[in-house]
Amino acid sequence: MLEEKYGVPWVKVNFIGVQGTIESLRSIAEYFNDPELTERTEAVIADELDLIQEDMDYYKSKLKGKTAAIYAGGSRSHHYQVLLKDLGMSTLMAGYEFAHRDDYEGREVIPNIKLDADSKNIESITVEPDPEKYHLYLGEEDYKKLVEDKKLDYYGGMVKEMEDGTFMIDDLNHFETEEFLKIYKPDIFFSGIKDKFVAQKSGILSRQIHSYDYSGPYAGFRGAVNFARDISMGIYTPAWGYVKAPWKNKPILDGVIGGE
Amino acid sequence: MPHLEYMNACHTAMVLKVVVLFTECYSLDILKIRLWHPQAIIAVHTTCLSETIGDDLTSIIQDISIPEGKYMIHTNTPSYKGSHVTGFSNMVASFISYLSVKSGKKNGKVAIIPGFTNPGDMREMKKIATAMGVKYTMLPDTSAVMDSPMTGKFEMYPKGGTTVEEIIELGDSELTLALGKAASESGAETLEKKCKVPYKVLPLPIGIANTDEYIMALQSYSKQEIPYMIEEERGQLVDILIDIHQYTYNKKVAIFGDPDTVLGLAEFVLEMGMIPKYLVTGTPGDAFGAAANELFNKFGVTDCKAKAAGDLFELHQWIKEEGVDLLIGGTHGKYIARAEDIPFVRAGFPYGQTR
Repeated sequence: MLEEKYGVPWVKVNFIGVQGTIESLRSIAEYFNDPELTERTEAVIADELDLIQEDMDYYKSKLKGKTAAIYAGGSRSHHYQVLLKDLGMSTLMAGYEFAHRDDYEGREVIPNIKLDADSKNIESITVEPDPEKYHLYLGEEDYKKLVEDKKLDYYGGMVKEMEDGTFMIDDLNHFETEEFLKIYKPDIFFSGIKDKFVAQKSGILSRQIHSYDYSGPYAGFRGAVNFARDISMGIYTPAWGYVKAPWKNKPILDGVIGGE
Repeated sequence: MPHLEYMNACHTAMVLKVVVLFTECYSLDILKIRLWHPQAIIAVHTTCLSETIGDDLTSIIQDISIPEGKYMIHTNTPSYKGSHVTGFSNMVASFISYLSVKSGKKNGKVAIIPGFTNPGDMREMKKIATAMGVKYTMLPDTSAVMDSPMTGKFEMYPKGGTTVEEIIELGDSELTLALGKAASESGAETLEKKCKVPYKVLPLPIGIANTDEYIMALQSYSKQEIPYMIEEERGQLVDILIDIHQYTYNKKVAIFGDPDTVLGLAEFVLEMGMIPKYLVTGTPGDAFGAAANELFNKFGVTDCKAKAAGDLFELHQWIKEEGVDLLIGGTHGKYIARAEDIPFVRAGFPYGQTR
């Protein structure tokens, strides 16, 4: 709507995860196409990477190969996968409660979306270019090129982030959540307060990511380190090793075989 | 729970001729007239003065005419040897070597030596043993003595404690559980030598794994199912540790106190994800450092220091060199906690008032 009325195009950005943040900064610089800004952007990226590299390498060594499941909203289920990948972790399952097909599959599916009752929940508003304030930053050629390259006015959806053999589940209910955790046993489950203690009582670490739970922030370069620190402390908390009492695995009676 | 409790002790030089500081003194013979009734037993321990002079307690006690049904025992507690834990441990052994007798008929009980712990700890150990269906005699047992209730009537001899008969009968025990190597092993060893009662040395049941060990030692004797009450309490503790891990994880702690207590607390803080940066005990002996290093290795923590025969001055210096987030120990730690502005959790002995 901003674009139609004022001529301001949009870029899908993500500041969760090191790689996500780098790509977002670069795509912003690319849009403005100003050599000084581009140079400054690269300098910031190099500076910040330098600050966090040692910590990220350390946490990656602890978290590599661990698995996660995410059930959150507002792009988090997608964006946190980027951050988990930075740490060598994989996402077994991700889903949203309220997302639409384009959030999952990308904007290319919009023409094929059939209207249903749900589509009418939000009033459709049509806007016209504002005669005084409509303004294009880019020339038509540059704009078209960026759109064609899917750098502008485009979101590819979550599915492109996910590995084969993982699950993308819409509107997961509590029963499904519990069953999923039971069967696939991820090392960590990201969700909200409703699910957190269901997961934790069943022995699976859970962190809220609707809020920052106990810590944060997790965005940007240094936020990635906060995130890595938080989940590594959760996963490596020794108390997990004591959930099952040792006598549960040991017969009460001991003795020798005899009587021959 | 801080205890302000009353315990009577008498002080005397042993024989008249050794009196250095006083012109007159009571000998044990005089003492006994004043003290025998209604006690069944007098336990004598020595001072460095009588040790230096070389009083022979065994022969002095033999020379005393002890009334029928009364007992006198002793142990040597020179203050320049070991620490109060050494003296405590020796006294427990003396009770056994003087009194315990093997009648030849087992009594179906476990002897529990609870270590240098407070009456609240002893109540907890007894509660667990009872819940497990284990019959036991605890020696020593200061519960219901050193934590006796306010009733409006003073009792010189409160209800609790281990009776002389029970100590004699320890010789017929099936098994001894010695909780805490430093404080309890020598008692268990003495009972084994004198009455052939086998023993197991366990850590003090502080923390999850150590308490599990105590429970499983009781179970290997009782062969009973572990009651839900114990599983519930255990599960609640594990739940708390998970719920608070974000506050405890990687926090550095300094712990000081008696060796068995410090080792128990160290394992417990490790279970909480904390790092026991400094462990200090005043009691000498290599076993402490070795056990501490074993713990550090088990949990993979580095840069931690443990010292036996150490003191709070040295601990304070270490903390000044590299700080900690928390201090755990007896009441005297308050000076370090105040000077360095670090939180202080009181545990162990002495457990005094906050002032």
